[in-house]
Amino acid sequence: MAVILWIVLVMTALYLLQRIFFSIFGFKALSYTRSFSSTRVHAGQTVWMRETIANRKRLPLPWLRVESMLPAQLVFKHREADMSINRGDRLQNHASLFSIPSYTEIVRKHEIACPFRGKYRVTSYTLSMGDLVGLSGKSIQQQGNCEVVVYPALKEIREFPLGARKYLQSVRSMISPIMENHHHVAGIRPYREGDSFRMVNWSATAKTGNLLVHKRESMQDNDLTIILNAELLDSAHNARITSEEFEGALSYAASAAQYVISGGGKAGFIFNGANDGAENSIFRAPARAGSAHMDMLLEAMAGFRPVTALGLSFLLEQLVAERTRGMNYFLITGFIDGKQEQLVSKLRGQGNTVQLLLLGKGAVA
Amino acid sequence: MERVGKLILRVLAECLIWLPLWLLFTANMGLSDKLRLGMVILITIIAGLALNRLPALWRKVVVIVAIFALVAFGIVNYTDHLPILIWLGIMLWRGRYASLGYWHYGLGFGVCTLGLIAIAQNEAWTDYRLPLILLALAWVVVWFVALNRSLVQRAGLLSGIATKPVMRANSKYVMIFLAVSMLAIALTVGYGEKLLTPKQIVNPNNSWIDPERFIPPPQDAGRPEWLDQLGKPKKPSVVWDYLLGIVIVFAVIGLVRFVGLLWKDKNWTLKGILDAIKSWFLREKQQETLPYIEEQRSLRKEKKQGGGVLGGLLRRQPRRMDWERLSNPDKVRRLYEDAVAEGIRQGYEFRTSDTPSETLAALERWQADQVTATHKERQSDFGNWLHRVRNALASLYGKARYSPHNISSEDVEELHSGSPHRYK
Repeated sequence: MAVILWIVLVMTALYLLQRIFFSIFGFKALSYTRSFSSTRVHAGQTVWMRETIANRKRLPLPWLRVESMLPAQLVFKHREADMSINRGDRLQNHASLFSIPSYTEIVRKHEIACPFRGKYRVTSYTLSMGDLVGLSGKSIQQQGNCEVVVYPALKEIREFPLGARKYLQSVRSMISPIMENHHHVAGIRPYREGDSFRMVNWSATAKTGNLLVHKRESMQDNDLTIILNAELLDSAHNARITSEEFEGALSYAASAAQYVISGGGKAGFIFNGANDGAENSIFRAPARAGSAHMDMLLEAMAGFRPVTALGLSFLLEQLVAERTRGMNYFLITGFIDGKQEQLVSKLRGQGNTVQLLLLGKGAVA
Repeated sequence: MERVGKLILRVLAECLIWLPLWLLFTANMGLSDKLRLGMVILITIIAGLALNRLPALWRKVVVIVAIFALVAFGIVNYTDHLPILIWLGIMLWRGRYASLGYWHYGLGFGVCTLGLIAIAQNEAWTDYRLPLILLALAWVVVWFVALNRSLVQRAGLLSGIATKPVMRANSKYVMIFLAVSMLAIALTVGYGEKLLTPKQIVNPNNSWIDPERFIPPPQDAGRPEWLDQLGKPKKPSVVWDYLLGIVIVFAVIGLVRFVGLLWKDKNWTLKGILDAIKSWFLREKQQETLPYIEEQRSLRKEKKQGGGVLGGLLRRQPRRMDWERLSNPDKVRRLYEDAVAEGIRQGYEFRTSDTPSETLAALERWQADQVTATHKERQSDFGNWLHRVRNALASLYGKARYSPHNISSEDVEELHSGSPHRYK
């Protein structure tokens, strides 16, 4: 009996000893980071989530579990294969289990599909550790700053409705060698078919490896200002568009801006809904060229929400009151009423061009 | 085929769990009886597992009826072997566990312990003591590993994220824990036994332990009458015979039906069985499909060599060759290296991009600026020597590294004289 008691005592003592040892030294010299292979993607693209865990000490860790709450909009491509992911409406719990020998770094990569536009951030992880026997031990919470911004999906120009496509092509074609008739050089732009070889900027071409030409100031305005209506409901006509259609509208807007800017033109943006920066004021970006401006527009679009900050009628009234001329407006909306049509006519009357892109049932009408 | 392999292992595990009981029950039996009981046990285990093929309700009904039949059979005909029949019933019931968890291995350990207790009471069974101790130890190890696997599965939130490498690594760690524990127990068990056994101090002057005074000797009460009644054989009730007959008939019908079902669903042939056995032996290790990509690398190279207190104590200084044994170019190299090392020791920031002559020039400038009161004497010695030989050292060092021509001993001696590092 004394022997059995001694065995129990020794094993209990050893167990407690190793448990205390693990709780003191387990998390020492241990680092865990999480990152995305690309922090900026378009909706529908996939990204790799990379978990890096490094144990820089002699003591191995039998098991270590990392749990985190991820936005439910990020979809694990292989979640059917025994992943511990419990999805909710907004968040999903994701857990990874590691066994880390001493002085070892483990990198685990998960393929994630990003079907929905938005800004997604993982701010904290919970790390739990097991001891030699396998029982759960100490847990700590670690702060993290891992973010992925999902831009709207881009469409091909051929996917636009015919009217909108013709309009965008005409706006882009305004930037042509014929129209670039000013003697001042405004910068460089990609070579287009029909450009004279005298216009090639050889230094820039040699530096970048792409054929670039001098961009001359144009006497012709070729800016495109995209107006995106945030209203999902037209109470007057009891018309409604779905949030999926709104995402489609954003996709059209982003593609139009991309189309114009990639052709060397300038694009501006007006959105009358809530966005990340300001809840009650409209988003307005003046027409500018360049990829930096395009990135800024996409970044802003990732944070747009279909919550109306200013009605479309009021917005159009503001634009009419500004008395601009020579502008090209591309209005994307779910519906347009009689008053708004009048305001659009007024804009046209002031010397601007306005093209409508109606979504949902309005597009058919 | 994998299923058959698992089934065989399951049957073997069950046999091992109950091995101590079989040994004790058959201790007084002949070999043929031992084998017969062994066969009955094996058939019972297989029958218990085979019952899982039936719908749950049917399985329960069959098990209950079978247990009742066994108990009734034992009560009526084999009262002496009733425990064995109850045991068979338990084994039949345990067929519901298609796979064994850690508590089943704990049961194995418990059965071994019971067997050892029984052996301690009966000298005739002493031969079984050592095998049962070894079996009990094996059950402890298996129990720990199974418990560990279960805990790791729980750590993985029972959702399958505990992969095979993680499970294997954890089994390894628990084995290390067990090995250390057993070693510690083996080394200290003698001391522990001595420590925990209460000392028996008998004081003859203590009157309360005198049995003569407080425990009266037993008195002869005579043989009670009821004891005589027990010895007489009693005729069993006829009702039991009828009941037994009914149960046997039901059991036989059930057995025939069960065998019929098995035969009806058969999809095996002799060739099929042989092929399956062959493929099982030739099977390749299946790769676990993971829902992610995992890369692993060692950080040992990043670890500072000989770092830590122990490493510092054990680290050996690289042995430098004696000055006299060096060739002249090597002597020049030694002087250059020591000059730069001395500068670095004093705080000079060495730049790898500098050439040797640039390094010496920068070191000389730095040396002139950095003369402090505390190390003035030593720094000034080094500074004076460097100032004197800097150009010659730079030139000879270049020659030592790149020129095929030898360097004269006079040049080396010229450099060496006045050096703060006087080599012999």
